[in-house]
Amino acid sequence: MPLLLGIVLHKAPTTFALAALLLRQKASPLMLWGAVLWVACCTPLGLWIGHSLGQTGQDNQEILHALMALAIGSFLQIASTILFESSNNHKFNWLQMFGALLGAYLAYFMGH
Amino acid sequence: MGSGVYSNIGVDAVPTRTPCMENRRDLGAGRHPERSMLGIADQTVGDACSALPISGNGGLCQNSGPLRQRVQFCFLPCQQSLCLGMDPRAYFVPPMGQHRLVDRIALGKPHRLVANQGRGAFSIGHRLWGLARLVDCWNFVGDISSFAEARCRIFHRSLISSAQTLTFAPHALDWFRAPVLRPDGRYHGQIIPRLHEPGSFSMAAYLCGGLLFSTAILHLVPEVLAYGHRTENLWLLSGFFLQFILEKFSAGIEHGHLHHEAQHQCDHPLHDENHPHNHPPKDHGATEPIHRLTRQKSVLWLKNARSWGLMISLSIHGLIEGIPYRDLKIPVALRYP
Repeated sequence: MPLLLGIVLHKAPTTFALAALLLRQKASPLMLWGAVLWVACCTPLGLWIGHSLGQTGQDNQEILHALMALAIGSFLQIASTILFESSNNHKFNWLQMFGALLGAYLAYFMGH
Repeated sequence: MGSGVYSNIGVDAVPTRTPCMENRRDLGAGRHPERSMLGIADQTVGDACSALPISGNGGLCQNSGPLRQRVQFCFLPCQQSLCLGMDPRAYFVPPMGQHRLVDRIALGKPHRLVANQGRGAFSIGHRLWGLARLVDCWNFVGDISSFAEARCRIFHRSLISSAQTLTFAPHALDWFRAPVLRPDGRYHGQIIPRLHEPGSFSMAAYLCGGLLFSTAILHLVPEVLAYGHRTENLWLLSGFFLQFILEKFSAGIEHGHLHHEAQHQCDHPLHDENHPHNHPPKDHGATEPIHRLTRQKSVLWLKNARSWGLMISLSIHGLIEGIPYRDLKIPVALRYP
């Protein structure tokens, strides 16, 4: 559940940023919605791939675990980027501290 | 002096001569009654009250208790007026534009009284102001014993101010406010970083970063390492650097990064990219990848390699990060061996 929350929370600014970028370039609505829908469909597609890989036999387990390790490495990079780049000139930010610790709390007590 | 002052303030008070009046006479109070406040011009209230030889008719300024300072603040003009032989309950007429004394008292802020400059002190506006303040004074802290009423009003003010904070504070409702795209194309959102403060993220981003990092460290990494393959740590590292490379293609959009546009706040019409008299793009911020992305025209969107790189990197990113959900039904004993 915290993983899902984190993914959703980090998908929202992604989509907003993409839509803002496309709107800034005055893209057509078709292009805008196509891009947004495509990006929005990617994560469920990955979920389906992982699920179907997990449902199949033992041969695919190694691939699945490798993909999971890949995903977790990218999680680490994304999270550290978010946390580190958001600190403005290394000033102490109570909101940031509170948010990050709340996230850690949720991740610890709500399980996977 | 005398009758002019009282009729201006609107209080029927009997003038009584006090010793303080003779002391203050050399300050010009007698000749210019409208400038009589200049006597204790820039002193703080406490100093003034302690310096004055006379403390009024006793009941007003000599109370003790938590309201003492405030009451002294409030009634400093009364003391002044007492020195001038006025009724101490007559309210001081402050200059126009000064902070409202009663409000400052209600908010508990220290108040530094500034001298009445005299000029225009007896205009109609000041008369009305003085009358209103007089009514406030009597209703509000005029009766010193009504401490509870003052507290109630303080509470009321704090309620109002908290409502105003909730209404107007930029941070309070960040999560629930829809992002806004300004007509000049700049993005003014709250969930993704606010562009007028570069590098500032909002609560959702912080929570998201904390959640992802903690989940990865606490649950996902031990789980993956517990599978027992040899190459898992290598895949972990390669995932890190794969995301690092993908971020270069997508200009950090997967974190909601658009904050480099904050430096691009020139509203001059000639600097608009779609202006017919378009100049060649300026150099500022040209090294930022987001600028290289945003500078292109929309018709070139599908023909541009950068936009394809953006879309492909976002797709790979999305595909990869959906994969760890597949084990939602895995028993806990397998997850944490």
